[in-house]
Amino acid sequence: MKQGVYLDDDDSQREIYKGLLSDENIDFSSTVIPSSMASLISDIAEISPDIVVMDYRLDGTRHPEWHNDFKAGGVAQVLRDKFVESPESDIPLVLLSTEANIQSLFVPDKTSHDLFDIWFLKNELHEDSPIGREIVLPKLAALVDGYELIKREVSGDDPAILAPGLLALEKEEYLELQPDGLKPVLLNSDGLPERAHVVARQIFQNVVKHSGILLDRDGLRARLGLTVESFERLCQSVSFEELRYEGVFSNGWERYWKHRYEQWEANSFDVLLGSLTGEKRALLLEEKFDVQCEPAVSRWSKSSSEYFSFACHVCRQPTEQRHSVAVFEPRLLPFMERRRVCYDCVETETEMRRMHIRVSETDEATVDAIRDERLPKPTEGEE
Amino acid sequence: MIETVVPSNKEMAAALKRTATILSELHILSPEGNGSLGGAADRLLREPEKHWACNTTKSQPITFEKRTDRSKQSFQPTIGVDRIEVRENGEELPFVKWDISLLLKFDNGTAHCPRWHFDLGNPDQEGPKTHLQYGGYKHPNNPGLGPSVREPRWNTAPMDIILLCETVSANFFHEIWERSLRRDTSWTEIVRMSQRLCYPHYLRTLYSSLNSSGSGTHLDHCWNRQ
Repeated sequence: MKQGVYLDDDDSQREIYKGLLSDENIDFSSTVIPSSMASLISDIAEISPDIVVMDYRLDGTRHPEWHNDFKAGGVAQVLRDKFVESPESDIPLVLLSTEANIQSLFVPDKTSHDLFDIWFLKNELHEDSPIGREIVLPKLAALVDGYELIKREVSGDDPAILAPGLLALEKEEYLELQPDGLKPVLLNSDGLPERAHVVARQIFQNVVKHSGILLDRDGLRARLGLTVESFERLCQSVSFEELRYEGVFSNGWERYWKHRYEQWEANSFDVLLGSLTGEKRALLLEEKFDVQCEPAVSRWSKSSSEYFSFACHVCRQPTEQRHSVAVFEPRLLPFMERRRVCYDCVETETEMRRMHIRVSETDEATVDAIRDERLPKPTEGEE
Repeated sequence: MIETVVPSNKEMAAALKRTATILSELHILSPEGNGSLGGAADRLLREPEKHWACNTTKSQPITFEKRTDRSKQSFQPTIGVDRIEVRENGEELPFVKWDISLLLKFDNGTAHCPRWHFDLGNPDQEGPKTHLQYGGYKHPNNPGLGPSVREPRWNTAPMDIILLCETVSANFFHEIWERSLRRDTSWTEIVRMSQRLCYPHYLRTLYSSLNSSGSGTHLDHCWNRQ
């Protein structure tokens, strides 16, 4: 059983979330009271946990003997400094807070973003949440397993096999893939592996969470250009298991190798699906696999005669490049795909704002034109 | 006379990846265009060494960073490759298929989008064997915006993806091209490899028509024979 620590300055909240975070994989029953930075760090060191989860506000409770004038970012910074000195203790740090605190305090505090591996909302652990513990807790377990694997791999003798080891690829397959720009973020200027939490952040943020060399299920469906129902039906007949990513964090995030998908596509068809409209892709898939396939429909043009390319970053529906805008992504590595948002989500606006998505400067005029209703919706497909 | 040199699939794939890296670093190629070129290179690696084909998908063409015209209208240069197929063919044209286009895709849905389309004339088609044609973009909101006449088919030397990327860079990103590309050795090496693939056959035809003491013009030499 792994050990977890949950930090919260509010006694009742701490007890509730210690219970909600605990499952058969991680035990969060230890109590650490954030009465002062020094005592907190010392208590954590004594427990030597596999993961620390913390509320954002640790300074909300006033107590005459407490010196708790710090928030989660401050604690994370001190812990990360400690991990640099003792890399074997490096563990995932997770933020668990209310929507209000995340939106008004954590989001603007850009300096602490890189200190946490991931953040969740407290209500996502509640029974009435559409996400729920059954989604969140396996991800925490995956982070713990991922850090253990990373620590093993970074302490290996040969930095050249670090990336294939983390990604669970044979060296030959990795050499074929050669993701341009990955190696420099995993190894330092001396060619030695970075610290575990740095490697974890690079793999998690740039490889697992961001489409590029991997695809999530929505991205896979977008490439096939199908409705959810048809995609699920197709998955019953076509085994995409061979495309599955089995590297670090894969037990919490279901991903598929893009290069294996492309190989599957080349083996299955004489044409590239990406050169066909959604309608034609569905016909081809139906014919090939004898499964009823309905094409996806563009949310903007309401047509299936579109060249679906990716899942919209906001609504996750199959989207065509010509009816989408690019997200502003200043830290894009060469192997990563720039995320895009469909015109429909740009028009609706609400979810984009909630997700704090900024649009690439070159597409700002398009956003204005959509919102001012100056951009006409197409009436027919493009050849 | 200079011989045509057909690069292997691996050489062309490496050149496409290098093109993607160089043009992305200079903010000429968009991230989507970088992905598209990378995808084309990956597919090339699965092709035979000497007789290979290369393409991009319609869902992800090679897009460049956006530019603005004189009226401050924003457009995106976009290269689409339906298919380029090559083989070593001695003195003959090394292209079995050559179908590549450049589109200036305007953000404004009502604007005319210029498109130049390069391909090989069909054997029964009147026109130069390797030609450039204007138009071919079906405007979603106004099909009438496209040209109603297909001709002329301009007699031209073939251009592959890299040569067309060079043209886009020099014309639409002129300052960057002048400052960072025009004399950059690693870039010019890539371009020269494509020149050795695309130009020698055309050059031989031109040379032969200029040298010819008999009748016939260069266009006549290049015209599709029945």
